[in-house]
Amino acid sequence: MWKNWTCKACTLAVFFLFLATAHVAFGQKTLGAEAAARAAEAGPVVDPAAKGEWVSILIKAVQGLGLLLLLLVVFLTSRLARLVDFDPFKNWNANVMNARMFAVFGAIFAGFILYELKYHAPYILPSSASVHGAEIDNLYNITLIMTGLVFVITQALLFFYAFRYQNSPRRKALYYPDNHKLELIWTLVPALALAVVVLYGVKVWNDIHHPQLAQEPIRIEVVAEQFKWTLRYSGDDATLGKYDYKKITGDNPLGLDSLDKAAHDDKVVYTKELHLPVNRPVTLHARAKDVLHGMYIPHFAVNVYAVPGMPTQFTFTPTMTTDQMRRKTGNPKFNYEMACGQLCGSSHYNMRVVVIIEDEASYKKWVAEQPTWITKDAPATAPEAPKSDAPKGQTAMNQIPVRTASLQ
Amino acid sequence: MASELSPQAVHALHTHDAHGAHADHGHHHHKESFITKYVFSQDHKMIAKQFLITGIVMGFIGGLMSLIFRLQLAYPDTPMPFLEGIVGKWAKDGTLDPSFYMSLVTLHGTIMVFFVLTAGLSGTFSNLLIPYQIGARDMASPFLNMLSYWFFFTSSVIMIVSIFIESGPAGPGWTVYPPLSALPQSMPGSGLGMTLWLVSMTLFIVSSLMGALNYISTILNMRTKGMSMTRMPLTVWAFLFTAILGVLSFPVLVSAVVLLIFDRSLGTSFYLSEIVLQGEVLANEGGSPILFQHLFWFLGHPEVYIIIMPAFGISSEIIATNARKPIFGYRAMIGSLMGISFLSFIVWGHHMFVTGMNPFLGTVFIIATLVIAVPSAVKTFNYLATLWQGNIRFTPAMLFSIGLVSLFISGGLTGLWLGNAPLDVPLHNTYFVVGHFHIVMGSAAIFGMFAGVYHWFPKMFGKLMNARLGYLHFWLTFAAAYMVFFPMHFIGLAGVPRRYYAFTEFDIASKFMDLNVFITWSAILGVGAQFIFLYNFVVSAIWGRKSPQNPWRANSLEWTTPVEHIHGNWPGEIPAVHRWPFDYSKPGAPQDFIPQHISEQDLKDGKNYWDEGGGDDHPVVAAPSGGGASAPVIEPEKVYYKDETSEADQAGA
Ligand code: HEM
Ligand SMILES: [Cu+2]
Ligand SMILES: [Cu+2]
Repeated sequence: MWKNWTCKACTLAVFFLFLATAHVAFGQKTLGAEAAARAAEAGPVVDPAAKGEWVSILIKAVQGLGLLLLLLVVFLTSRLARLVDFDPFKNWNANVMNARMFAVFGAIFAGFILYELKYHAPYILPSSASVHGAEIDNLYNITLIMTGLVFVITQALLFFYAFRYQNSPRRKALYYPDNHKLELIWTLVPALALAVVVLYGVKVWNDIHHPQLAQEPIRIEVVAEQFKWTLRYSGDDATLGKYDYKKITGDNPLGLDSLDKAAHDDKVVYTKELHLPVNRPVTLHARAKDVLHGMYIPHFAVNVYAVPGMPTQFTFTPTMTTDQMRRKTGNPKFNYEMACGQLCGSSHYNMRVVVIIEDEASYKKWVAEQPTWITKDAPATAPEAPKSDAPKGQTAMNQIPVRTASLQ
Repeated sequence: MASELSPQAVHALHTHDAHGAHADHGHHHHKESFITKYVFSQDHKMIAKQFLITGIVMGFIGGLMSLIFRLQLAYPDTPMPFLEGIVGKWAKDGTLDPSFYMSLVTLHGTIMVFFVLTAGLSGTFSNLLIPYQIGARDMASPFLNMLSYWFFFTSSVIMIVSIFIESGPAGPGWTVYPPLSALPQSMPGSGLGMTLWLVSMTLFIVSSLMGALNYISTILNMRTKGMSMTRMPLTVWAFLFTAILGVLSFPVLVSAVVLLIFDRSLGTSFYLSEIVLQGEVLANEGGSPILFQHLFWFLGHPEVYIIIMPAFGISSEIIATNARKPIFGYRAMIGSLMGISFLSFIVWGHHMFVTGMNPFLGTVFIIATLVIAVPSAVKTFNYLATLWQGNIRFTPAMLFSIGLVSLFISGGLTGLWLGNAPLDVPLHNTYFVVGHFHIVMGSAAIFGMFAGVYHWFPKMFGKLMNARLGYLHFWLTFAAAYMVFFPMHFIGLAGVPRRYYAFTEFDIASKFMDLNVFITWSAILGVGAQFIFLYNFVVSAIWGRKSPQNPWRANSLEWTTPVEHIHGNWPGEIPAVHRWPFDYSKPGAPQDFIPQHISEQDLKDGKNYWDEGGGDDHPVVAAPSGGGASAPVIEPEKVYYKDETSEADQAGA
């Protein structure tokens, strides 16, 4: 019977070999054809690159054949082993081996987790540098302990049971289809445990959205577009002026409404730095010009989408300056970073803004240095609404009274 | 109702009978040609194989894609010229194009979630097992069933074709959030590729609806005599709930997709408002991108359970069979499936905590989400209780089922973090989420699929798979799953967002360069191990050792059908059912299993059911000498664990 088997296997091997050769030959042909076409385009002179291509194809072919030979050797060795009845695992009891593997794997798994805890856990964020972030950290710790405990117990039991209750001819499995008391216990206990985290979670969630603030927050607008951020600080009036997306032009990238006095002293900041004072509530108003983006500042546990057509916001109070964090982490180059938190296109990975937390005085000084929008960008008269390429049937939409959004 | 054959079933029988004599019956497809048997087959077993093989092919495509973008993440600064040989212009001089990176990620996600884990898993095993396990000759509508496969096939082809078009395949992520997906100018992957994605997904949904309606009506109407609902194997229960979820949630995705198509091509503004794209002010006003997310996740969350529930069903069945114990808490298992199904419709908002949604809604979704963890916990404990005091045989299917439980624990627990909105704030859209769903869905559900393939391979191909290769496959895959996805939690906890082309631009990310290399090589190991499976699958299907009728000594009805496939499944009458499917190791029984079709009278009569169809060649257990309470004598090495060598010895030819 095995002879028959070998025969079939060899047929298979030959078939694969044939396929591979065909592939190499075929690949050669198309590549060659491409090179020839290119050569023809270039004129009658033989393209030296084409020649180089042939050489590399040859190398590739040799590599491919080498790989195939290797596979063939492995395959034939295994067939040969079978032929001479050489089977190193012959006397292994597969069931016992697998059961032992569960014990071994369980141990390695535990080791792996400990290793990760030692070498990669320190990379995670330090405790949050914001007021609400500290609360989230509490919830994090409670959840970590709870789920960690359940993880260790259930995984340990699973691996242990697999090892312990491996098949034995001397034992019979226990016919044990039900136990309502047990089931009730392991429905109620998780339910109670979850109730604890839910209650705490809901409390923290409410605190995040309705924070108790001692002061009126500073309002800053954070506007996202492919693939950069633009910031807007209010001027001395502490009010962000109105904007209308239809007023957006190259000169007026945020579409500020020049008829609104409050907008005149607003400061549009193009640097890749977001300055904020420490220990002072701040509300970041997120706006997206084109597609969804996310305003994600991990060290403060700040995360909210920027949605075209729907202003969003996040209020928080930073509690540690950049300098303090540098000292705490022992990294003199440390910087808080704002990243884009929602896929927005090809350069989504590259929308970095450095967040600089400083004392109130430096913050004020920095803001004062920023020019106001009206002097810097705005034309004397209100910019006319840019034309849109909307289809005919839709022009009516443009005549709908301009919707303005005020941020206060 | 169950005792009577439905017209379709009679028809199926008929087709079988009609092979020889009377061809002038009004039906013209009596003679089976190659086309009707292998291509446009209406036989649930063949359709199951078609789903499986398409799913496996798609799985390899999706898996290899992930290696390309994993290489990019590990070596963002190193040109890899060989990439140009694979993806052509998208990797000029060996540097992967960022928008093609996004396209790869998008197609990888789409293919894995829908094509492999929805169609490949649920499609395969619902088709194979529902008629077999409830004792029906075929599906309620074999024709609809055939259509379901061919819609799926067409949608797969369109999805694959979209890879090769000039502007590249869809790129806005598998969740295709507008406006990115609605505005072709916003990224290359939002052009024709996105259109093809939408077309393909629409066909896919049609396919899955036809399948689901069929599964539900078959289960409700075509159970054999004695097969009450509470005697159905847990697989069938799982498929039932899965199908119900699909029927109720996929249409919502269709509507989301249709509105998106309108926005893309008819100038409507369902999802668009106040947009200035690359300096051009668009006219769209009044729409909301968040509306799409609500519609998407109304499907999306049930979808993740559509994926995991068949895997639950499969693993429950396999764990009970191989622990030689009844599943612990059969009714609780059904109850938790039911609870999960219901709750999964009211938790979708946990994907949207930071979209600017009303915080009160957030509160509601926190509560609903964490409630869903309770039935999940019950399932886990019941699995553990089933293993306890069992007599476990480690077939490859059993290994994968145990692996599934381990992965489900790990991934379910991180779900508790993400489901609690305040904790989700810093974690949303980071690698923590990637770790979470790859462990709980990517790995656990795939493990369920592998378990099912190893376990029911004999029912599909009449052959046994090579067990040793199966062990190797399992241990490598299990290790790789944790090596790849476990460390990702730390990356997420460090605040690194997902869907980033390179970790080079941020301090928070760049410190993970070394870990990314480790993860990538683990992923290569993991994908490589799948080739062992592929080899085993192909070789066993063609040259594998012939399977006995009931190789695992299991109780459910599919093992009473002959090894060779026939139309209508049973050559004679459909067996009636006399017990639940979990009579394993029942005290007083002559064997450690009592199949569902064995009645008390049969037992009294001392009917020898264990040699049925297996004969001397029975691969699992030698018959106990005394009968009654004596322990079964099991010689694993001699019997079902042997490879071809011992087969050769035994066959003696
Ligand atoms: C205990 C049960 C579970 C809970 C509480 C849970 C919770 C969550 C939450 C809250 C998120 C959103 C995270 C975010 O985007 O910030 C999430 C994401 C996800 N979960 Fe789960 N989950 C659970 C089980 C599962 C299961 C069983 C599956 C699949 C089989 C699954 C698949 C996913 C997927 C695919 C995503 C990511 C979707 C995306 O954004 O691309 N989860 N889960
Ligand atoms: Cu982005
Ligand atoms: Cu969900």
